[in-house]
Amino acid sequence: MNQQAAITSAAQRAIAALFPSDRISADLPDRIAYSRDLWPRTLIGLREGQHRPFEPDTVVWPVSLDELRALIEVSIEHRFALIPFGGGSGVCGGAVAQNGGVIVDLKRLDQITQLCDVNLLADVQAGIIGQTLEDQLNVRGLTLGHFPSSIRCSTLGGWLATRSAGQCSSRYGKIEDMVDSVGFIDGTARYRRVDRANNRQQLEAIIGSEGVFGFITDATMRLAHLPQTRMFLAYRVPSVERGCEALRRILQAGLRPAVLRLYDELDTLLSSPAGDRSPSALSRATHALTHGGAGKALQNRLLSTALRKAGNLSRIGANLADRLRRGCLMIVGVEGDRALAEAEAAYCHEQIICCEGDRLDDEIGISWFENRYGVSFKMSPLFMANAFVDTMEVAAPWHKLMRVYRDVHQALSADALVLAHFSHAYTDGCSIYFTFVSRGSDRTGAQALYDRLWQSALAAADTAGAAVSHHHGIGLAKAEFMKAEHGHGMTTLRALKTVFDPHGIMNPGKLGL
Amino acid sequence: MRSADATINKHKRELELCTYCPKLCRHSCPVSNATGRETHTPQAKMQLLNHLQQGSVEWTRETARPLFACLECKNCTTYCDHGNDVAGALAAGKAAASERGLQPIEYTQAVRDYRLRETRLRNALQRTAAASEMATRGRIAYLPGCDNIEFFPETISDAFSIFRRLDLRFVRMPSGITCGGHPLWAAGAWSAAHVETERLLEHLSGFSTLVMGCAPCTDLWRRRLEEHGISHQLDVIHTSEFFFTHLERLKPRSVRRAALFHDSCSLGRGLGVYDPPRRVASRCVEHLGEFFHHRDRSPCCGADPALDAAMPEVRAKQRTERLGEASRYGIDTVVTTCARCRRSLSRSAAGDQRNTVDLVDLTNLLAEALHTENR
Amino acid sequence: MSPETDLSTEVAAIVGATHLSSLESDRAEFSGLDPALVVWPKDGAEIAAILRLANRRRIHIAVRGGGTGSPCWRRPSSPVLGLSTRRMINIVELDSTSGTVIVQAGIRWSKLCDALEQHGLWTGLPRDAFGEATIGGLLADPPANAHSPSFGPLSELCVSTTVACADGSLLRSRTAPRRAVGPDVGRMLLGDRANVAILTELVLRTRQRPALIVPALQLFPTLRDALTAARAILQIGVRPTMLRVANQAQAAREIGPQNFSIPAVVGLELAGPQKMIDRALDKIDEIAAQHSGQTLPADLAADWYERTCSEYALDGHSTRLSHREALAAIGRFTDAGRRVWLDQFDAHRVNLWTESDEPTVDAVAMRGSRDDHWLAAIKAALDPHQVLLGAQSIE
Repeated sequence: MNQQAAITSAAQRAIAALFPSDRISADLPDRIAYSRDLWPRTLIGLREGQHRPFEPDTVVWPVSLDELRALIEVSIEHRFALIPFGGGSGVCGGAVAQNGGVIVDLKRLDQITQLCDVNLLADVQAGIIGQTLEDQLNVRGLTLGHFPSSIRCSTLGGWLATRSAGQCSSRYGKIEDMVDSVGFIDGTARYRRVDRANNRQQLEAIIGSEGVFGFITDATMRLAHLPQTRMFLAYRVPSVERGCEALRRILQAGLRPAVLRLYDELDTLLSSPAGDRSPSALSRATHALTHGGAGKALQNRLLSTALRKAGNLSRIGANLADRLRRGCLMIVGVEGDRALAEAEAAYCHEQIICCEGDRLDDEIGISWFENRYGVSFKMSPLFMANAFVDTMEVAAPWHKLMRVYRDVHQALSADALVLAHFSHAYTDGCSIYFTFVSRGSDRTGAQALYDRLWQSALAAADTAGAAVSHHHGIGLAKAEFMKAEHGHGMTTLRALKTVFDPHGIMNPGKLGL
Repeated sequence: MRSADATINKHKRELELCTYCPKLCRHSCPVSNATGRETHTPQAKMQLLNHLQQGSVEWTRETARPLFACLECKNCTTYCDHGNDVAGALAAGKAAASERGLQPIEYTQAVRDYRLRETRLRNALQRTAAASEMATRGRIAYLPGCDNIEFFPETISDAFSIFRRLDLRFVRMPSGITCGGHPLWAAGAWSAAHVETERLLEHLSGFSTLVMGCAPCTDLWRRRLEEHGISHQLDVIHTSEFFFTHLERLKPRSVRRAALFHDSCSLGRGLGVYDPPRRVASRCVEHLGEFFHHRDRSPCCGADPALDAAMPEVRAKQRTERLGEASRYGIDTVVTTCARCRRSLSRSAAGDQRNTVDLVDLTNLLAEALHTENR
Repeated sequence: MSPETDLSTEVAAIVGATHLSSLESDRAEFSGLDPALVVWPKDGAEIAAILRLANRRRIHIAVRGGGTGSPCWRRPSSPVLGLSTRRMINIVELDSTSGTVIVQAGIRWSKLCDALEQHGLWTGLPRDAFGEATIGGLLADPPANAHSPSFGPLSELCVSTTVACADGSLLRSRTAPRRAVGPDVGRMLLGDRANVAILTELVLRTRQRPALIVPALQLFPTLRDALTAARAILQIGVRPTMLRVANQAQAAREIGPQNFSIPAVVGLELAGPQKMIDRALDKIDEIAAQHSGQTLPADLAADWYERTCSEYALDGHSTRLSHREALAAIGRFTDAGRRVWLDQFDAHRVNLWTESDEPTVDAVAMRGSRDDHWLAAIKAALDPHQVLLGAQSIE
């Protein structure tokens, strides 16, 4: 993977002429920091000493569109790759220099340039970090309504490039629903503004393009007023089937509660705030396994033993959940105008009760909200304990959803502990978010197991009729599944590539292009 | 004395936790937010230190440099569910680099400046009006701090005017001390800092209490010296805490309509002192407001002389955003408890917006409130 | 054998001899084009075969749906085949669990709505909104009134597509509510006006027909008040299925003569569970009152609703504006005798309609225009032989 010296010295000089010395670097620490994103496969390698998996030749930090355009022109002339980089929070290897090239970090373009509280529209540069954007909007009584768990480390540009989804997507939509227009520089250095009203087709082509066509430099985003009120309700439903039924009824009645989350039995066992009160040792073990805060010493000890046979653990976990008859946890969050939100909550309540739901303490929902970004803190302890964890989010219509759930679960369970939740529901279908934990014997073993798990899980999802990604994107990780996903549509994608990036300089290898 | 490498080892688990972390605190780092550099995120700096410590990356001037891209503001720790002490680990990293002679030039300069400024500071201190009233006896030492001496001498006279109101004639400034030594520690010059601290301790013999006007030094003397194996028996409090304990006797009256309170990193996240200064300030203004991010989420002012010299964009960004927020609320007074913050936020950098916000130290505000009451 | 005969033989081999015509009356449906032949394929596979034939023979294809639009075709020098979707009117599959329905592109809107109603489903847009237009035509070239504040633009109705690409391949995109698998190719081809592909089959998302659909009318002293109130209603989170704002002249037409003055009006339709509607109506009343508005009687609202739903015609000129731009623009239409109305609301933008001969609101700064350069480049890449004429000429 470490193909070096992709860039000639003439090219290096040409790039260096464009940027002041503090905004261009080939220093070793920079080449380390930019050699991966958050693709867990590279974390497995990192643990074994591979700390520069995809080493770039150079990193630059442009501050203007002119600099970007000039860089693209140099790139065309000298034929080297440009890799757009936002927060590097992607989990699919979408922002790495697969075969060297120049990483173009857009985080210096991080301003809200215009904000209109009549239209509730904001012009925002692409490099702004999500939480920073949300904070700056909150100060003015506004919100974007986009809350991915990566919000503290991902950027607006990254969200748009990967079709990101946030935890309140059922009210505010995914990022593609929030964008009014984007500013875009393609691989020929041409800048254009692409708006929804006049250029919807082109907007569809650019959103989700993961940098293979060019740079999203800025966007006009649709905002909302900060909600007057926010309420959470929690339920226990007997099964994922009944839970999904409730979700579907709520959405198809035309309601849009901000948060709808349904955890499967095992995820419930591990995620429920009540989980750690269970008397079972295994429950405590599995709880510790995913809750970094609880019993850290215990966690390491248990991980090393429990994960030796991950498949068994998964079965035991499922049996335990069954024995305890805990059912599935469901969290509903409504927000906005108080009267409207209360009416919405009341309707949701009726529907969930109809699906055999039992109301639990509201505290469970509130606790979820307060710790909503906390789940990712559980990653490090797992990797430190020689295990690995990854997540896979697929989407399917309601009538295929249970098959997708069963088949993917089965494909993963043989070699991993599998949890799942349903957190982005629509009138016509839903996404399923699988978390799987496993461990290999060493790096090669772990990466091979990791690859095998992904292969079989994606194949199962594909066969069952699910889209192979709902909001994480493709990157390098799922590139080979693009053909299965798009079929002949790949021809159209390749045509788009020739139109936007005829010289083939933009983020090569991603999206299978 | 512990070597810096030994201190890094104490942070071993934190380094590992950060290495595999998906950068969940990165939005809170003033340095990486300004430079946009992935390498400057707390996660990347900790991963780098981990590599250096393990030997998988060699110590060089180039590889050591990112360790210095830290203001030690501890904002990242606020957002870390593991509570990782990134500032502490990186401080040790800086020291380890310095022990190897790999510190950036700006940090060598900072150590040199510390020595060169001594005469200048002493002269400045002599010129303050308060100097003439200095008591010769008493067990309470008042250390205004180097930034107050050099840039805000009126704060010292204001402090003494408050002491007088309290009839505290036994408060005095110990001779031979202009600074608590924080700049040396911050520059990673730990051995020099040790020597300096021992010297200061000699000058402080006979005192029981240290009232400090400098927030970073308060944090250093109250908490961090012990981590460095230096113990002392002094009671260390910040002026704002001192005034708070005497608030009922002082009875200040509101002299300004509205003000915002800016937390110092050292006093806030460092020592958990949030309420005493607010209680004092709220007696001096009709409405004491809060920034959107306040208390343990308050952003750093960006002040660190060496870092400011190396990366001026950091302070410029922090200043623009903090003052910009105050302007948006239409509030023209910002109260701080730290001369560092005050100087950092008021001193404009090249190309920076002009400051229309009045930055006052809590000591100035309190003195103003008491003075007005007198009239 | 003449070239035309030869062509008809080949076309007949694809669609069957009875499904093509060279009659003057059939050819006339492609106004101004004078195609050599008109063909009525039964499905996407046949369309794809015809496109392959067209590529081989370097002829052009013009596509016609319900014939309700007024397409502007580029007149080529070489022969043209007229392709009509009038046989492609089947509902292929209806899944009541997902609320999705797979339909052929040639089904007419009214027929689709009727069929859905039988299954207790609806699209959220009025049955009579688009007359006899086909779903394929509506999605290939959406009219300016195809937007609901609750459901979004008409394209939101479409989950996935099957299209016959210009190169003669058939492309079926995956049906999933949302995807993050690169650009959504299937949905990207919506609005394409048969420029690079022909929509042959659509998967549409529907909803349960709501128990209750309630119209409401609010009277305002000025158009500005009405527009401001409408914006506030949306921005607070009420999602009506229809929302219109009209000035005096337009209100007179929509509501009919009354014995009191109606300077401006906001009309809405709310659908959903009763309690949700009740709360929404309370909120609307509250907001109207804040803008000097008052609620008009329910029977008047019902009359208005019936009239606007059945006369959902496009008899004006519309411009899509942000709310701020719209507020600025309405100030220019002070003549109370001229009709001005606004619809297709969302919380950020709105369509401003004026009578057809009214000077357009070009004075208002528009953020963008269509990127013809890009469309031409895509055309060149995906339809190198320029087989598809497209409903709008690309220079």
